[in-house]
Amino acid sequence: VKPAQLRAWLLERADGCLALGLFAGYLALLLASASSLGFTRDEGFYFSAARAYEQWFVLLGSSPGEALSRDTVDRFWSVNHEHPSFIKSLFALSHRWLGSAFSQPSTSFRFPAMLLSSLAVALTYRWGARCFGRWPALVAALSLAFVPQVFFHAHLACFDVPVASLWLVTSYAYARSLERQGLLPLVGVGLAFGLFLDTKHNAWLFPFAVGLHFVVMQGRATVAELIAGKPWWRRLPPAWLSMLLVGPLVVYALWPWLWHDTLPRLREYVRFHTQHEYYNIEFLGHTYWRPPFPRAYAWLMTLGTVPLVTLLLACAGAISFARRFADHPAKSDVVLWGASVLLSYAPWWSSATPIFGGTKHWLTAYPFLCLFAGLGFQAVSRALREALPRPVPVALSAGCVLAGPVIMTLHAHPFGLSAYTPLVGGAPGAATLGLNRTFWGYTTQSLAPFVNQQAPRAGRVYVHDTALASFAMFQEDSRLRRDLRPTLDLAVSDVALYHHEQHMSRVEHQIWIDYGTVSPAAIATFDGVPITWSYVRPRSKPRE
Amino acid sequence: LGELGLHAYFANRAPSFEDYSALAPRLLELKPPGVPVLASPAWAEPLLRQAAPEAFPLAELARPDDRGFARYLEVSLGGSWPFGAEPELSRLPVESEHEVGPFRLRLLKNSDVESTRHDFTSALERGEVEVATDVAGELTPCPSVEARRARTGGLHGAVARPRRYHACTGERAVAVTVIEDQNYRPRRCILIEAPSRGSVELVFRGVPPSAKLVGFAGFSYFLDRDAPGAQVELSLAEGGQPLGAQRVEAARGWQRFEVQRPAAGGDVTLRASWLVEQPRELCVALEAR
Repeated sequence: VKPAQLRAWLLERADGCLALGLFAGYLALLLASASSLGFTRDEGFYFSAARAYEQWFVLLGSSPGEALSRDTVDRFWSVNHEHPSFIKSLFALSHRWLGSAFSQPSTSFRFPAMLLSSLAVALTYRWGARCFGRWPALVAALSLAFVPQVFFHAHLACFDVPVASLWLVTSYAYARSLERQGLLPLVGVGLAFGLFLDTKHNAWLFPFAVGLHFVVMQGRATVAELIAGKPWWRRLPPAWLSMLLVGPLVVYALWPWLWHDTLPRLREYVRFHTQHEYYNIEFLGHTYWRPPFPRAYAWLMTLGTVPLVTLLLACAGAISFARRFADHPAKSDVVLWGASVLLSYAPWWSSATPIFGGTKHWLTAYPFLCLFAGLGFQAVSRALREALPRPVPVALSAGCVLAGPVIMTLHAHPFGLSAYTPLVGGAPGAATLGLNRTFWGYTTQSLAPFVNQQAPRAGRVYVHDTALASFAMFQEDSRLRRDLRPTLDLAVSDVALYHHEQHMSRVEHQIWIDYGTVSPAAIATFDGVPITWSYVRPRSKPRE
Repeated sequence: LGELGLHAYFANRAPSFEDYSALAPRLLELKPPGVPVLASPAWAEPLLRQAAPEAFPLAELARPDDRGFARYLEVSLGGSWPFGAEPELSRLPVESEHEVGPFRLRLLKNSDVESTRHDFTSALERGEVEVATDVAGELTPCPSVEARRARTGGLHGAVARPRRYHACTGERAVAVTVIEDQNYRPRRCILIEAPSRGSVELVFRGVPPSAKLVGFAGFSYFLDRDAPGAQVELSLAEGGQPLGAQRVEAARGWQRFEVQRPAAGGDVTLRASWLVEQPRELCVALEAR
């Protein structure tokens, strides 16, 4: 073994260990902080879906014939069939096998998404280390881990960080398949793409990303061969065929809802998302609820919620790459990152695309933005080395660019959706500007101690934006008293929750009329800004 | 690191709960009766309402517009970024100013005031009104009743109907409620639910003299902002003489209108006639100014 080979081998091992460390560390952090994060509205629906799928898996084990019959499949898998099955199946199996492994039952539902979130951080490191070295890769991975809204979504039994993770995994597999011959890398891309498709419909954009990558990397040569009458199709990546054949097979195999009436159900699935109803979202003091939506929304929200240092480094990375475009050693990979960023944001180039959901719908761009940030860190470090008489230790530079994101992210917990960067004045500045303060009703957690203390025995709690299934999970976890009864009828309630969004003010007005008071009994604030508050029915105004 | 410093600055800038509690007695001391309190920035208002509920009577908090009051008491978190002043307040002249902890309290003079002589919404609460449905000239009174509980619809449901209301035929009601305008701000008003047939008539007795009647009308903007065209015609009469009419369009939100009055005060009749079936929950505020 030559010394250079040994060194390379050791370096590769070291990167693997670091990636594993990032994975384990991030997972531990997510697990440690999960119990203080309330349950979002959508989690409630996915808990219910996962419980239904879990029952089917149990039946599959005990009576396969019955489980596979059409009636049974439809009965269990019709629940929440507007979203694919992969992640919810993982929630179900995790709850089945790990339900008692955690101190709170909810964690077992959330665990698979946490695993995938940690995988995204680790893989960002691995890919970065492969392309530009260890320290920039570490900056990239930790920049991703400590985007406040990524950290928030990484906890949830939802699809948004998992689909970002699977975009990254599929891209990585695709990039490797372009370098390595053989069946295994090809099948790997197809499998990854299948899981990606079976996670969330962001996956529909991925073929356009690889298409754009092909055009940039091979477009000119392909056209030249086409004009010359040469076999241009040999330039087409074989991975495309794998994605085309294996991907849909994986979706079909893992999503029992599609086993019957496949085409009509696929059409229904596509129609649900391409013709999705518009929800209300406040942006710069105005509630948007129908097109045209502001085209700047996605970009400005990214500016206001991703740490500026990360964005600046990403810009520096893009510029440094552009300057060395022709001979950049990782050109193919970086072009794929750029294509992934562009395609992740592409739907919001149209003013007809709904803008609800804050930043979660383009989280798929963030791993690649952070890889660009790693590239930027490398470029800036190099420039500093050349400019300064005494070199700045790279660990110190990395610490400087990561301190802000880490501290801001940990500070934002558990108000991740209310977190804004200093560029817009933090949470107070965002509230003054009229940016969405919260959604999904998860901040009930912050009022739980008050509700537990104030609500009468067997009292009724008006849940407002918290889904009933989410409220039930608060109780199952013993975060809320089990004797409490959730209700959607304010008039029969003893305690009313209010989760502030501009268009929901009418709910608070109803509380004023019914309870006869305009004074909240408890307010949960983030950096001094009211996020969610609660009213207690005065004794002078009994409910019946 | 600069970003981190700014983060620390913004994260610790806002007053604490203790600051709001300490402000409350001074706020109540400085607030003259009939002077609405305005929070600047507006997002601080729930914290002020919690600390000093008496400073926020519903009639002031959910006033029909800003011209009905001669003065306002602004409670500001300082006025500088990130606590910018509300734009509509910045043009008002300042009568007096006090610093209380981290807060700045300014008494603002409203030079655009239209003094309110009579508030019809409060008159309904006091029972100074006769409500009836009118089907082809036949009047059916809507007596005042008290239900076992209020009716509330939640985000996508009906406008809140309080326990006490005027019960019209077909389980329709007339009552005082609050709806949201096109900026989702609260407006206290008289809820008039569409009758199955005919129109609804409200007769207010002994309205003191004034130059004009200023009206405001709308539907729950969140619920009905999609409804096209005009839905209701409102007409006003005094002493049997028509004063004017106004068509209400849900998509326009909270609309202001006004009619001139004869010199002597008297009984004012407000009639709401539906032009279409939906939406059904009209809300009207009326003031003699």
